[in-house]
Amino acid sequence: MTEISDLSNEVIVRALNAVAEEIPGTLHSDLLALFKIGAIYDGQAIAKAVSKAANLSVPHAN
Amino acid sequence: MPIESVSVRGVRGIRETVHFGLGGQSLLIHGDNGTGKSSFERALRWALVAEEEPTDDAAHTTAESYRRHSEVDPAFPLVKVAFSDGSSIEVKPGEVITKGNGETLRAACKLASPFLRRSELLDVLSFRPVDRFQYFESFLGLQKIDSTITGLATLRSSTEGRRSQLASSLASALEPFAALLPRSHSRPTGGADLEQSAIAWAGEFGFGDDGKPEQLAEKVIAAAESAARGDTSRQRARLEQLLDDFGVTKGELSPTTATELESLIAEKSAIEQLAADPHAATLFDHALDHFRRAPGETCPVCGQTIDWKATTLALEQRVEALSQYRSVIAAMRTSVTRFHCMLLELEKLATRLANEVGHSGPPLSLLLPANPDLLSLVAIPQSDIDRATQGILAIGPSRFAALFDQAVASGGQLTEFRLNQIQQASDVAALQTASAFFKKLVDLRPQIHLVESEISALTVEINLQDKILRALRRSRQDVAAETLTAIQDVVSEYYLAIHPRGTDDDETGAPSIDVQRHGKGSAFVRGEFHGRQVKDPAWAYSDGHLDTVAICIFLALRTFRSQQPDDPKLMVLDDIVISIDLGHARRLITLLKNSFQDHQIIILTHNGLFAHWCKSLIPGLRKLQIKSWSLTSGPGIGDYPSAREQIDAALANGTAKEIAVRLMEMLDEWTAEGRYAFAVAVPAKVGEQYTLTEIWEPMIKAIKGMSKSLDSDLGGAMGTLETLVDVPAVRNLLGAHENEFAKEFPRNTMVEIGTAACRLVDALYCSECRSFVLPTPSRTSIVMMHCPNHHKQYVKSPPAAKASKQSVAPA
Repeated sequence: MTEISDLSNEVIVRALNAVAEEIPGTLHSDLLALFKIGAIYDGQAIAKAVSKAANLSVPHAN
Repeated sequence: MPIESVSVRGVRGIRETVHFGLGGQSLLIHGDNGTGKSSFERALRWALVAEEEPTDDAAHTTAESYRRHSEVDPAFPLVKVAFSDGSSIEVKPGEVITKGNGETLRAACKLASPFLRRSELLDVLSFRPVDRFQYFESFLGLQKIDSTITGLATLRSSTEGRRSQLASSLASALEPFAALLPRSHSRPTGGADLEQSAIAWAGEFGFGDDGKPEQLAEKVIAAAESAARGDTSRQRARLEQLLDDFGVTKGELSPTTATELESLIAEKSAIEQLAADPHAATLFDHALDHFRRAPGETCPVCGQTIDWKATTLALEQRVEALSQYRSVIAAMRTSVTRFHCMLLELEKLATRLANEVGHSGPPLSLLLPANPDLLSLVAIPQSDIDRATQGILAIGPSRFAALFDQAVASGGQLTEFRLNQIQQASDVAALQTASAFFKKLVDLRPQIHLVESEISALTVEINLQDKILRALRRSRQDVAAETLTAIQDVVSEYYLAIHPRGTDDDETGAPSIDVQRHGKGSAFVRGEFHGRQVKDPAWAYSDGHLDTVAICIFLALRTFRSQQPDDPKLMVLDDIVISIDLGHARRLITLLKNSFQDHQIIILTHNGLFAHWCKSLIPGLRKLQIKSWSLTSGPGIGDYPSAREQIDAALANGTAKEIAVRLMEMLDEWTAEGRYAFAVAVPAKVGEQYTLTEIWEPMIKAIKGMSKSLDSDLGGAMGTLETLVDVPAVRNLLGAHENEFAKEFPRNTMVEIGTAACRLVDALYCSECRSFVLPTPSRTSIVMMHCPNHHKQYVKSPPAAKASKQSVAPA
């Protein structure tokens, strides 16, 4: 059986591969950076990295 | 981290503090029903996994209030769990005190779900498949992923909140516009919609040409201000006059007029051709030559005979032509002057119109945007008739007249249109409202665009977050399903360890877990009976089989969880073998012993034989026996002394009968377990409650058979059998009075029998392995006998050496 600690990584990697298929660009390198800083389980950090990969920027009305 | 000890007070049936010493070992608590075993289990749950906490409800009022002893104050309950590394967890109602790694250990226990009690056994089978899937999932350690998903969902919610806030802000910003718009317009829902409404509304005031909101705003605002000043009526009057003037001018240069001028031009040309006679330049000198000579003479110039009459006639013709030429020229100048004047008049009208509509270029270009010819003529002063004539003739009277007519018509139309605009914009109140609308539009348009831009970007962001969330949820479900399928294999393995193929219950096959990934995921437990899959095991399995299925699922999940580095490797089993027959229960113990050696197992049972087997089979198991219980004093707990230790004590100091009683207790345990070790066949009996007599003879027969097969005295065991031949008689006489017993079996005889029995037990049972010396490979084809770690082994002697051997291998 797969080690439990590996299961979460497996879920993350599969999910992000699925997202990467839809959003071309530098997603993998951005997400790799998340792994390095230990933020790969930070949903908000993931969203920001994916957003960055997708070249999204939100102007602020304030 | 193993538990060193547990202290409990005030929980259910335990009033004053009871100390359970585990010493870091597995623990067996044996006691009858209602003696406080489950109170201990619930106390542990409270301390380790924060379940079953006593509340401060009034006693006997709620289920929770029964969690504390009925005679103690709500604050009295306390459980303290001490671990081998000095860490501890202490719980009181509403309070948790941890020391060392206590907090981490408690968190690990919560993740581990180490508890299984009898009443929970069938829960996993009665769950709805979707709940069962989630229950299984809870063992997979995907909390980090759940936390990731929660974090992302929170971000999504926050982004959605921001978008909603902006949408609300946009709606509020649009609200005043909706209030200003006429009812015939639909309410604007966004910036683009608002601009469309603005353009449409401006069009209703006649300002729809360029379609740019800022420019339209300028016009509408200016119109409103103009209307407010009362300029509109004056402007209307001017435009009406201008329209009349255009009407008057129309037709002034008719095609007929142009034709007349063209006729004059043709006539002039014809006269000029006449004047262009090569002789014309000298005509009068020639005529004088004729008149100086007498009639009939010959003219030296033309050689003709002099004729004064013909000469005079010719002169008269020439003078008349000259007169006509002057008339034509005069008529032409008059006509051209008219053309030019009309053009200058038209230019004046165009100037007036340009002023009315705010045209900034050459006025005439307003009427004839693409014709530079007439525009150049306008620049010629009225006095310069020759240049004007030259220009008009260059254009051509007919074309001039046509362009003039076209310009006049255009001027009339533009004036009429403007007049119409003025009339439309004459509603001062409507203009004021529109002006307010457009002023607001000019002020708020950038902000509205920015808000919409952010809403649009946030929408993209939310869609992206949704994508990630979907992908995370889906892959989580995939991984969970695949892992649960792997766990299912372990469930089957454990089930077959307890229900091996080839036994009486062979028809009931191993269960399977069918994981389906739809919705939140489902996990079905299937059974197998008579070679066919059973949709629900409850349809075909006995209660005992169902309990086994549930236990195997629990153990498989425990196995999986135990791979996590911080798993406490703890298991608390509370009376789980009630419906399981003892044969299968024994295999369950073997499974626990073989597959959970790294676990600290706490077993609570009321079943004496199960307790005995656990004690015998699980190495290092610490035993506690609850001997009594009362409401006030709680459970009376003592060490569960081994029968072997008790007979030793009796042999040293006891009476003959005391030795006999201890002897029977030891042999009862020994034979009950030895029966399985040596595969001794005995008639089936309900509850497996055999008497020593029923097992003793077949047991001795089996030992003799193994001795014979190995040609060994089995470590001296065979030498004891002659002394032990009276064991059944001793058993039968146990009911006799002490003195009568001593007459039949004096103390020295009982010492002899007891000592022989101990030698027999020692020869065939390894106290280090806590296992019998087992025949290998089987009793019927025996090659050797040994305990699991070969502390004791008996090997078949070679033919040359007929002596028995006992070798003790190093541990």
